[in-house]
Amino acid sequence: MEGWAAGHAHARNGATGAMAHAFNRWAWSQATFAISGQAWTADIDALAVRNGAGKFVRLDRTSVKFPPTDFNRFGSTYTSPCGTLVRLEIERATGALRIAKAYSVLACGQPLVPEVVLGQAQGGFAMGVGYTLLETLPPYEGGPGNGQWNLGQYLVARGSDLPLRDLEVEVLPPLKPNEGPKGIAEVVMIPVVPAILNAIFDATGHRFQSLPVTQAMLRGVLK
Amino acid sequence: MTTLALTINGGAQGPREVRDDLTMNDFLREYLGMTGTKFGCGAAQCLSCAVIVDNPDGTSYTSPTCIVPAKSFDGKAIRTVEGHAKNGELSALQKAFIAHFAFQCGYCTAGFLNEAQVLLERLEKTPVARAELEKTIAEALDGHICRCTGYIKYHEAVRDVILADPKRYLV
Amino acid sequence: MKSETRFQTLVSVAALAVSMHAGYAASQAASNTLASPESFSSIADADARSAAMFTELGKVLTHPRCVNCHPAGDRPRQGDESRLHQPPVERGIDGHGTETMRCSICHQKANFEPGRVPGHPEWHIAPREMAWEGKTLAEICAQIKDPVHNGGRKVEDLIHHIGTDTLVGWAWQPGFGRAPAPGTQKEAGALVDAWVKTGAVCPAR
Repeated sequence: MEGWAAGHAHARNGATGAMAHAFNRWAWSQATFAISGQAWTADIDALAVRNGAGKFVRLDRTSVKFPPTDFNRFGSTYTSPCGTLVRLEIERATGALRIAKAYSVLACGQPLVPEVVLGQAQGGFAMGVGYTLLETLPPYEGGPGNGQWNLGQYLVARGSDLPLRDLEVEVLPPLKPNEGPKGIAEVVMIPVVPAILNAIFDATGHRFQSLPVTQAMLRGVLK
Repeated sequence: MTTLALTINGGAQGPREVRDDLTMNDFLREYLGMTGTKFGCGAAQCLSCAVIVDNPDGTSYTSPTCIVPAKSFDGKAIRTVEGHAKNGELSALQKAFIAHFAFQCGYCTAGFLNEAQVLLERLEKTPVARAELEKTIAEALDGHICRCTGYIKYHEAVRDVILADPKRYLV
Repeated sequence: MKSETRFQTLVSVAALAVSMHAGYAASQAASNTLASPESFSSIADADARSAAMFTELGKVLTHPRCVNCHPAGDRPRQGDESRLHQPPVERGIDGHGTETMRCSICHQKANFEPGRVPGHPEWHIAPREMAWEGKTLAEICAQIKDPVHNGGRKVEDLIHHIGTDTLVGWAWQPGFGRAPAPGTQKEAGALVDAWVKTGAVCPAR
């Protein structure tokens, strides 16, 4: 299909290539060009076009706007917030903890691939569970510094540690139509940790201040 | 040294001489260049190295390769991730993994794929009730560690392959 | 610092480090031996002597190499710290693993050092009635003498089982990263033999 269109464009000496120049200083430069008699504005400041097998020819711009130099003073912070709620059950006799239900809500501006955003939020939840309840790196002898640790001592969350069918993730829509993407990275892991610790406090009356909170530690405060 | 001859993805491999202390993982990745099978923990704890072993009686199981000697696979028939697609056509599970965005970095994916494939074939022989499906999938996949995805989309992909053909897999 | 002084300092530091290491190794060896039956002959009371020999044997029976596969529940333990076995595996119907995770998939007929995984042709966990995890030596002793709990064995059969069975024998050659059981299998067998011949008396605790 592409080959057919390119062949025709070359045969009729139509446009076969374009080069653009752009500039960003916390905002894009903008310019207007006359293309086939019509004014066309875009976030670029120079444009060249080739026809057929000819050379690239620069199009004159009819107007251009550059971001003010004042903008060099900008720092840019994008904030993607995330919050998590967790409901958990602790078996009194053994201290065994089960996460019954969880809800995470986040805002990331415009999600570019929503399925990946959701997947990252699910993975972040798992990492938060590991951080709070499973993963430990004690110092000195017996710890990973002895060179003999593997996933038998450094426990990461498996499927059985997670509420696989009871994790709801809500991605809030962008605040404005042109908000743009902000990214989320590891924010989806962060609120999981205090959510679990607060839920443990709610259940046991004890505030844990060191991680991981193990079954033995929970048993200890449930007497 | 010992002689190793086996079938991989339907094709004969060997006979060739291999060291007694060669792991199956090294044989696949270093000798055969089949790097679809990964090396994760090297202690059979993450199962990113797992391949499918096909018994003569038609049953199959997954086996780690990182801590198992290559020579113990002599005479066996195995399937690796490279063997799932047929004539360029991805398997139903592979398509479901893609459609569900089930993986991120892909390092655990071959292991999950092999385990899920063995699960499908087991369900064809001994189907389970719909009410038991999620638990069955969870038990089958729990040996596999994933650090990126949180597992949910893997489970949903496998579930949806089964639900798309319930007469084949469910009671 | 003058180079000569520096060399001398280095040598003395190295010597100190070596001697400290040797001292550590020596103290390890001392707690890793099994006393011979003869060494208990100073105990006059026959019952007390018998119980003392079982207590000595208890150094083997309560060692991680043994208790890890005599768990109280359905999951074996692993390593000198006896943590839960990873990957998570379960007893299954026959103690040889579940249908999809048989012990023999990973554990070969002998230790495989490149993978640092222990092995034996009969690798499996002991039946629930032979659980030792969490039990006192007195409880293990009563259990090990009871045919209901010891696989229908007579007390005399234990001499052969502990003294010559090769799966039991693995505990003394467990491969890299695992402390072997104290003494040797022969010494353990000698202790069982002497214990049985003195009436197989159990310690009080």
